[in-house]
Amino acid sequence: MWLLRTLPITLLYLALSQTANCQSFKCDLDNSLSINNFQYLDRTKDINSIAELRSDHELKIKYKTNLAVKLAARGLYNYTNRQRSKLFLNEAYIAWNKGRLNTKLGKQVIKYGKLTGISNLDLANRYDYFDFLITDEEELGQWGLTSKFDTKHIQFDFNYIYNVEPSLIYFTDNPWTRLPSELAHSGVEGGMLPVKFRDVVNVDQDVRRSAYDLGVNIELFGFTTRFDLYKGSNDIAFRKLNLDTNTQSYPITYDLELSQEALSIYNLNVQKLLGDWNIWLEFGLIKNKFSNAGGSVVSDDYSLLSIGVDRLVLFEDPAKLLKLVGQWRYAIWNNKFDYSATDLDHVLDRCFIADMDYQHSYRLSFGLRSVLSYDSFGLYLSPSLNYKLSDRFLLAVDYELLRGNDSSFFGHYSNNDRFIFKIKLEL
Amino acid sequence: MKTKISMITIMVLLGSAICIAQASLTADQIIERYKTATAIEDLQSTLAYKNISKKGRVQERKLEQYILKNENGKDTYNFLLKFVAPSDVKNTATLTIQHEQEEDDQWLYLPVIRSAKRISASKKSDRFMGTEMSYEDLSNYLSEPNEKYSYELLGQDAVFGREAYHIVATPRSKTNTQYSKRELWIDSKTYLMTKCDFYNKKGKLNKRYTANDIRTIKGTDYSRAHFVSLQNLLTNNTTEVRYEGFQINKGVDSGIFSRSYIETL
Repeated sequence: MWLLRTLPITLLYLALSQTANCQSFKCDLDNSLSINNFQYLDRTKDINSIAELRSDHELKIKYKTNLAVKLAARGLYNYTNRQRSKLFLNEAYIAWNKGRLNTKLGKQVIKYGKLTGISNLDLANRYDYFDFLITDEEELGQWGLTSKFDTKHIQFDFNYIYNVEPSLIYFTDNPWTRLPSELAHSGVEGGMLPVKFRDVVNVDQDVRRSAYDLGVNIELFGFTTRFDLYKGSNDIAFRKLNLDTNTQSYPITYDLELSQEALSIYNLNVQKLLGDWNIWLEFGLIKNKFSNAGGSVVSDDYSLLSIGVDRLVLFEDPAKLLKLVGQWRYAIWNNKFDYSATDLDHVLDRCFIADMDYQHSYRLSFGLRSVLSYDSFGLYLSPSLNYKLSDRFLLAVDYELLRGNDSSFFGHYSNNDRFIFKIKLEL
Repeated sequence: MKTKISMITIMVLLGSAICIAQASLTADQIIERYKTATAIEDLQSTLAYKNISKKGRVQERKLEQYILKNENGKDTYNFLLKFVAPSDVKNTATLTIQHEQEEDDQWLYLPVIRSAKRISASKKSDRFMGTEMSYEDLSNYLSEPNEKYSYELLGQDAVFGREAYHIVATPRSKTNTQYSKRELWIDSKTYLMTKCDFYNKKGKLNKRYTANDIRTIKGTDYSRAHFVSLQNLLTNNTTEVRYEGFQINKGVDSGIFSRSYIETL
């Protein structure tokens, strides 16, 4: 059935690609199929293996160098949990340039942060913030307008999102979800009340939550200085358990109430090229919200400082290539709150990040991604290996290792150690 | 009959005169003609290159290139290269803004980070995009820096069956270059370079450039080599480039040579 649904879209793309090829028009059609398998090492988990088939279809039609239209559809067939299978249009936009003004209108994937490491602005976009956890399904298009204007030394950016989509990372039956099966309660024998999850309730789900980002990038005296102002809402929703008081017997059922709250980021970034090294410093003021022990949502303002470097190393053998990224992050917290391991906005508050990608040959490459949370000791390590059988056929294997204190995100989710096997075929 | 003989005599004399004139061209005059033959205001084309390592491993890439001469009228160019295949590098782009005195500005757009990143102004000897072509070769390819070299005509040779002037280019005393000399073969009909030997500072033959499949570009007086090879004779790595769809002086929008453009389209 799923294949039948994707077929008409593919045929439409093919038809368009044939009609759109002439001298002024260029038409690109890309189709790929991949099989992903997630193998969890913790045998006590309910699900040890997740398998999914993913198909991506992209059509881009360009008129000269001034106008482009892009449509991107994605299909997911989850063999383990068929309810998660879906087919959707992830990007649908028109882009044009007039002189030095470049504009994109429609559904598009928006990236706020401009760093090879983790930027404070990535907080506004879960896919970028959790980039290190391989959360491809979070790379979602959003309806909006993005515009850029260049002068010789200054670049202006303006992004407007019509309606911020809530993140899927926490509540859609994925490995990072750990919903309680019992709650502490003094009135029950043993002090623990057995509970059972029933449903997710989105509060104010009909309310449109727009967001905008204004950025100015100035290049002077060899320094690149960028200031951004993001005002929108946090795409990770706040959670609240609502027990069903009408339940007559144990376990008591509960609904998970989700609400999106406001998020503002004022961010300054300075970059400088020193020889082959790119060095950056970033400082951001974050105006966020926090759900306290009483369940009420209160303001949480804090700042984040970050220093990082990246470098591209070339070798005499043109097939070899090395990319290096190193970053230190330090948050100056609002001391009123004690953040827990599951407060996702604070996972990367105080940590070292190191990334390395080494291309050994045109076919074989290795990667190593790592995060060391030095405040509440936690460690994430992800070695990866990619082998291209041909330009169209890729085999990849990743391993994700999470360790640390239970008070750290990586320790708390240490039962999510996993292998990820991937086969990708470009059609 | 007499008129016919006179006509033939005139034609023979005229032909001889042209031959003598061609034969008596100096090295500097040939280089001037070479510069004229390659001088452009703008150019766009697609190209496919192959990097072939000494072990025979092959990497193929397909790109679009856009070149626009800077408005200041000097021999500096804006240069945009966009990868179109294979998919793992698709939409990666490099933008180079050449400057006469200062270091060039360069940006790299990586689809993964969806942002253009300034990269260090490359040293002249650095390889361009992993090919055997260095930034200096690229710059020379766009415009021969004849004020920085002295030229000597060594004679005429056949290259791929075509007559070519054999010239040696020696850098003048203050010229900053990775080469001790270059030997150029300039096609006697199109004045395009069909072969070039690059000698390193130690005087060793380092690289060999060859160009063939020379065709006239439709609707213009320009000719261009559609197949180019650059072989590194010290490492035995080779880059081969096949060009298609040349458009010369047809107008390239100056707005595309910006960070915003490579981040948007």
